[in-house]
Amino acid sequence: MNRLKAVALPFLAAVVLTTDVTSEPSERSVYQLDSSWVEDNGQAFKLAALEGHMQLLALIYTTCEGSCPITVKSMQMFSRSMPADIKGRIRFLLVTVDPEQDTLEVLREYRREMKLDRRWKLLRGSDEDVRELAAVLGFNYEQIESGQFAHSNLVTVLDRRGEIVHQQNDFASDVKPVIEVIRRQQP
Amino acid sequence: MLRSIAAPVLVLGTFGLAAEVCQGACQPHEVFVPAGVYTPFFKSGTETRPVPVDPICLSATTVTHEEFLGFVRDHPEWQKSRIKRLFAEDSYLGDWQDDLTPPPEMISQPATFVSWFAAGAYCEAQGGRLPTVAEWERFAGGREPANNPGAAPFAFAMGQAAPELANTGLTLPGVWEWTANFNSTLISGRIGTTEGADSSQFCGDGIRAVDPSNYGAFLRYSFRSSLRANFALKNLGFRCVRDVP
Repeated sequence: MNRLKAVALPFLAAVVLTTDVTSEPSERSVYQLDSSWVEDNGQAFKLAALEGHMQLLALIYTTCEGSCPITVKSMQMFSRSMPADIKGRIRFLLVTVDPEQDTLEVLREYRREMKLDRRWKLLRGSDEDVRELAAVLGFNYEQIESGQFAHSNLVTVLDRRGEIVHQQNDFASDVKPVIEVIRRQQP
Repeated sequence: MLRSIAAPVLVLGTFGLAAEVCQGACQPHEVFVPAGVYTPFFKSGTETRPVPVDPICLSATTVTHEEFLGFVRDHPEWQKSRIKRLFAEDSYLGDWQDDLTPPPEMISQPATFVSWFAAGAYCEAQGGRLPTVAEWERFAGGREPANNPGAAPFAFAMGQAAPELANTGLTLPGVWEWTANFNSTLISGRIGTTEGADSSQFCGDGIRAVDPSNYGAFLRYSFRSSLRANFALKNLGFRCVRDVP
C-alpha cells in the first residue's frame, strides 16, 4: 500500500488540477453524507456545497460553558493570525450538537456576539444527522444534566474534497499542525 | 422536566404485566420490550439520572449472514466491492468470498465485519433502526451470574438478557452489537493519546460509574467509545428494533 502511494504521488500531483473539478466525490469524502442542514441565515444546506475549500470544523453548542468557547475563540484567533501564505485557503465550519436549544435565531445571535464573518458557516441539523456526522468524525457526545453536554474536544480539517486530513484535540494549545496541513494541500 | 416524568415511571420501572398483551404488536421474530427506565452506567455529573425508554419491538436474534446476503442482493451499493470507504473500512464483510458469498459454514451465524452505516441501512430497509445504548443496555445489560463456570470468557460482557426477558426467545450470541448512538460515551474523550493516558482515564471513569463493580458494562462502554462508524470488526454484529406501531 505504502509503496503504491510512493509511486502514485508524483503522478497525482500532476493530475490533481485537471481531474479535481470533474472527478466523482472521493470515496472517503464526508460530503457523501446526504444529510440536510440549515444555515443560521435560514438557507437549506448540503455538505457537498462545501467542496472546493478546506474547512476547519468543530462541533459545538452555544450554551457550552466548558471547552467550546475556547475552541471557537482559538479558531478565531487562528483565522486572524494565519501566516500570509495560507491566508484565504481555509473556511470555518461550526455545527451545533444541540439543535433543540440552538435555534436559527440563537445561532444568528451567536454569530453577532462572536463576530463571525462570512468565512464562517453555522449549521443546524436533526439529532440523527448530527449523530451521523459525529460518528464519521469520531466525535463523541452525550447530553448530561442542565442542558450541558459531555463531548470530545476535537477539531477536524477537511480537504477541498471533504476528506479528513487532520484531527486534533486542544486546538488552542498548538495550531502549527493545522498550518502544516494547509500548506501541504494544493492551493 | 424529564426528571418529573421519570420519577413515577421509576416506581413501575420493571417489566410489567402489559408485556404479554402487547407482544401482539410485534412480529413473530421479535420480542416486545415494554416501556421502562434505564439508569445510565455513568453518573451525570454527581447524580444518577434514570432515562425513560419507550416500548420497542426487538429482533430476538442478531442479523445472520443469510439475512445480510438478502439485503446486499437487493441493495448492491452495500456489497463489499462497491461500498464507499467512508461507509466501511477495508475489512467490511471480510469473511465473505465475494459480493454474494458469505462463508457457507457460517450462514446462520451472526453477520459481523459490518459497519455502523451498513447495519443502520439494513435496519432501515426492514422498517426498523438500530437500538440506542439505553435500549440495548436495558434488554441485554443483565448482570452476569456470580458463578457461571460454563460461560465463555467475556461473553457476559457481550450481553446477558434482562431477567424479565428470559424465556422470550431473546438470543445473545456472544458478539458485540452496534448501537445507534455508540459514540455517546466518553471513556477517554481523546484521540491519538497513548495507551497509558487512555488507561488512566479508564480508571478515572470508575469513580463516575453508578455501579463500579459491573465489569461487563465497563467493557461494553469502553468498547463502544473506541469505535468509528466505518469500523468492520470480526466480533461486532447488530440487531434491529422497531418502534411499537
